[in-house]
Parts: sequence; structure tokens; C-alpha cells
Amino acid sequence: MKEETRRSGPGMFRTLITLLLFGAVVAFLLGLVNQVTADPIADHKEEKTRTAMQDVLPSREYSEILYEGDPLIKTVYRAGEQGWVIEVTPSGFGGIIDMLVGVDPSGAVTGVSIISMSETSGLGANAARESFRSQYVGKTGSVKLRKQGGEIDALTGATVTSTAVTKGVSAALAAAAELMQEGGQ
Amino acid sequence: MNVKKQFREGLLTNNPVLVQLLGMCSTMAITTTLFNGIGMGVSVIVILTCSNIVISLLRKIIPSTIRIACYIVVVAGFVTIVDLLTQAFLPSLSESLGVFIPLIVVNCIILARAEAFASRNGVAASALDGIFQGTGYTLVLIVMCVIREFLGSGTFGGGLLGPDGAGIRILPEGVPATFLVLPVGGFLTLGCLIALMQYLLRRREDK
Repeated sequence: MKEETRRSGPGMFRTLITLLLFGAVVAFLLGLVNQVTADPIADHKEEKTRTAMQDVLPSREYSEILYEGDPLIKTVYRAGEQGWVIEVTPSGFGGIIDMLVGVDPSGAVTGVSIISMSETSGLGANAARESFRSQYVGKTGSVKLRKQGGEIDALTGATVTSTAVTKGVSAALAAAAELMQEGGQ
Repeated sequence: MNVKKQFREGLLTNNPVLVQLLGMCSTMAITTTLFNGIGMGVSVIVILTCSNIVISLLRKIIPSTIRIACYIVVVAGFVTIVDLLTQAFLPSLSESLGVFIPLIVVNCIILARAEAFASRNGVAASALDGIFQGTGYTLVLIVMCVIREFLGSGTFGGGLLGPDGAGIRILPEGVPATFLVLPVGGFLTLGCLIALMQYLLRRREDK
């Protein structure tokens, strides 16, 4: 025991300092890189959301409005007189699917766009395809997959991603209906 | 320093994926389109070369008891830098590679080269080792991408060429076997490539 303390004494100190220095230098460098990249990264995110918004419901301006209720709903934007753009986050196969749903004042879907997801490539990731997303356009009330007696063709037999997207669209429609009632009163 | 030997080792006789069997996870996971393969390959070349250089420079001052921890700190630093830079300046690449860029930290190729080569050799040799081993990895990725994309999606150059970057369609829709772009297809393709490589190497030895 005594011998071991003597042996690791100065070595231990040097080890500690070296590792500490490594950590400090790397952290400092990363801080510098982060300063350069933080703004472009934030810009890309914003631009992406903006393009997706224009895609689902074109409008000159979008203003975020307060909505509380369904936890699936992340944010609600009022798109002038055109309706609402609702960001929903249902859970798919590979985690959360972040998507936007446009709803017009008559309560019909104007478009669906996926901001980010981690679904299986070649299967669930095909949800980003126009041919799948466009099935939701014009739907009202509550949407269902064909398997459940609805009108949406699922992407795969397992329907995990399709079910999630459908759930997201339904949640957005329900929220829009609520907002419409509030607006009417 | 033997540049020719290092070159041949990195690309063929000691190829990181097909001979050393390192970095197989990312090899199977991301090789679904050509764009992914090239993006991942270039990221690894950059990170591997930088970390090899730094580790080779610091090899005398790193205490051997904590060398692995030091290597990982260096590697993680470079990976995070590359990750932030791709997010900022090549957003479409960082999106399609997703979590696999941060996961380069635990890509065994980088740690293995640090331990087996950079910690024992000079700076120039280590830099070359990074470039050649990285290129060897990239070549395997590209071969895997081309095979899996062609047989699995029926396209070539996905993410780079063709309308909307969807790739040039070679096989009509419905013909390709989708399972090849799924993980199982990664195992099959990689297995066949490793078998072929071993066969060729053995045949050369016999001669």
C-alpha cells in the first residue's frame, strides 16, 4: 500500500494535469468553432421551417399563437387569413417525427411537410415523398389509414410511420377546430 | 518512411474495413446513397488525418496510463468541429448522415490508428497513414453505396445526381430489392465484399 502511494504520487499529479489540459484546450477550441457556426446553423433551421411553412400553407406572414392542450402539438402559427400552420411531433419508429400541417379556415388540410425524422431509410423515410404526403390534402375531421377503414394508403404493412403521421395530422385538425370555435365566439 | 507501402496497406492489404474489420457499424449504416458514402468518407479522412497528426505530435508527453482517454478527447474534439461545420455549411449532408457524424468518435478506425500507428510514428508518416487509411475506408463505402443503391433502390448517385438529387434511375421502380438498403442488406453486401477481399489476398499470397 505504502509502496503504491509512493509510486503513483508524482505520476498521478502529472496524469491529472495532462488530462485537465487536454480537456481545457479542446473545450476552448470547440468554443471558438461554435462561435463561428452557431449563427449559420440557427439560420438554416429557421429557413427550413419557413420553407416548410410556405410549402404547407402559403402566406405572407406567420405569427406564433398560444395553444395549450394536446401535448403532441408543439407550436401553432396563425397564417394571416389563410388558416393555421401547426407543428406536431408524433412518435414514429425511430423517435419523434417533427412535422408541419397546414389547415385552412374550413378545417381542411392544405399540406403536410416533414421537418425532421429518423425513420428507417427505404421504408418509413418515404413519408417525406410527395405521393404520400399529398394524400392528406383536403382531408377534414379525423384521418385514418385504409387498414382502419380510412382513406390513407400506408407506406408499409407495419404502418408505424404512417400511423404516426396520420395521428399528427388528426391532432392538428382537432387543434384547428378548437381554435376556429374560439375565433367564432 | 515508406509511402508506397503505406499506400498499398491503407487501400488494399491492410484495408481498415475489409482486412482490419474496423468501423463496420458506420459502413453498414450509412451506405445507402452515394452522397452519404462520399460525405462520410471525407469526414473520416479529415478527422483521422487531424487526430493522427495531433496524437503523433503529443505522443511523447501523453502518459501511457491515460493515453486512451487523451486520444478520445482529441478525436471527440475534431469530430465535434467537423459536426458543427457540416451543420453550418453542408446542412443537407449533416441531415442525411444524422447521428453517424457524432458517432465517428467511437469509430474504431480512428482509435485503432491512433494506438497502432500515430502513437509510435513520426508526424509525416502519421498524416499519410490517416489519409491512406481514410481513403481505404472511403473506397469501401463507395463500393458498398454503389452496390446497395443500384440493387436496393435501382438508382446511381443518390443525393448528388439526377432530378432533385434522387439519383439516376437505372432499374425501373418495383424491380429493386428494398431489403438491400435496410440493415440486413448492409450485412450481406459487406460480408460478400470481405469474402472477395480475403479470397484475392490469399490467392496473391499463394503465388
